[in-house]
Amino acid sequence: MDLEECLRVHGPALWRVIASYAPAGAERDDLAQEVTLAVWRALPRFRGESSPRTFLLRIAHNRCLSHAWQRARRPSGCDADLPHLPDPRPALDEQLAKQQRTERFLAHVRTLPLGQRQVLTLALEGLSHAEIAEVVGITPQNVAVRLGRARDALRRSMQQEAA
Amino acid sequence: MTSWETWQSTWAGAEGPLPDVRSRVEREARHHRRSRVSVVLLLLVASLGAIPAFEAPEAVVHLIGWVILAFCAGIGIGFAVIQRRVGPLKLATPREALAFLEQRLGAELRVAHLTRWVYLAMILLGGVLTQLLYVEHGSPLSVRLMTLGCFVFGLALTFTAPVWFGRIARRRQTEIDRWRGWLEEQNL
Repeated sequence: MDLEECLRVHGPALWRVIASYAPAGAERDDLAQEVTLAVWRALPRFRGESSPRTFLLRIAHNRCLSHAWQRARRPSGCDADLPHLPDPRPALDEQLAKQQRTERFLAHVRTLPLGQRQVLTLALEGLSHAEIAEVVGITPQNVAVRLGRARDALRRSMQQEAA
Repeated sequence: MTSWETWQSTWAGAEGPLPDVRSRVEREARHHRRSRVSVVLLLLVASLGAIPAFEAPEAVVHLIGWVILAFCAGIGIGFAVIQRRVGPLKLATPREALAFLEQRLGAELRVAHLTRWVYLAMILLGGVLTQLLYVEHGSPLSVRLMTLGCFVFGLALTFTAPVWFGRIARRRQTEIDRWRGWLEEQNL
């Protein structure tokens, strides 16, 4: 599997995973570079035992988890963990409005605990419970439980903002 | 549409660019190959340019020709030795790519040092010889000063080359160190 091909086919999914861990800006750019390097490094190890998508999402999630742990260890971690919510006022430009909606949704996703965030983003990517279990390393039953909690938490977070 | 479907459509609509680090390294490798060819061509042109000097009747002009040839030989040999240390371009893995980038950075700095000293030697010898030639021919002072000025300008550029190369290299080294740090972390 070639890196260019991987990034072309699965790049958008990888980007979404990255965006669910890092807000827009330098932090997201850095994390994107880390994930790309990690994918490049891991590609020769791909033996086709799982689907390329599952393999790449596992790498991206592992890399993003390390990033999240490092971020939490930083002294300024409490500030950095605050949800970064873009301006909720309606934007004039349709494209900009869509971008704002997306960023707001991603910001809500980033407020979820890591375990819930992982299963939720993978489920949003369209992975089955069995595939999510393979990526995260838990049982499919556990995936169902975490996903249920993640959906509730996300709904609550969005309702709070609306209120 | 249920909230889950709305979330999924928002999620699927999110996209952004991913940096292609390998194509960046490959671009650096192409620059590297091109710079090798450019240096060889420049040295070839300079060496060919020195040949007419040997047809002149004055011994001083012959000496200037030898100085130019010695300069080309010095730079050429030094460049070849430095490039041998960079070795073959392997970019299959990030670690190989980082090693290449680091070696290239080191090679650029060494070439800057090489140019500094070889050019200094050429300026000293060439400067003295051209001034002798101008005295012999009774050339006007303005011509002498202009030639001297050109030599001094060239010397100022080449003698300070390691300093400004070093500044650029420090920035690039920081980036390489950051990349390496990430790779080390992944080994944990």
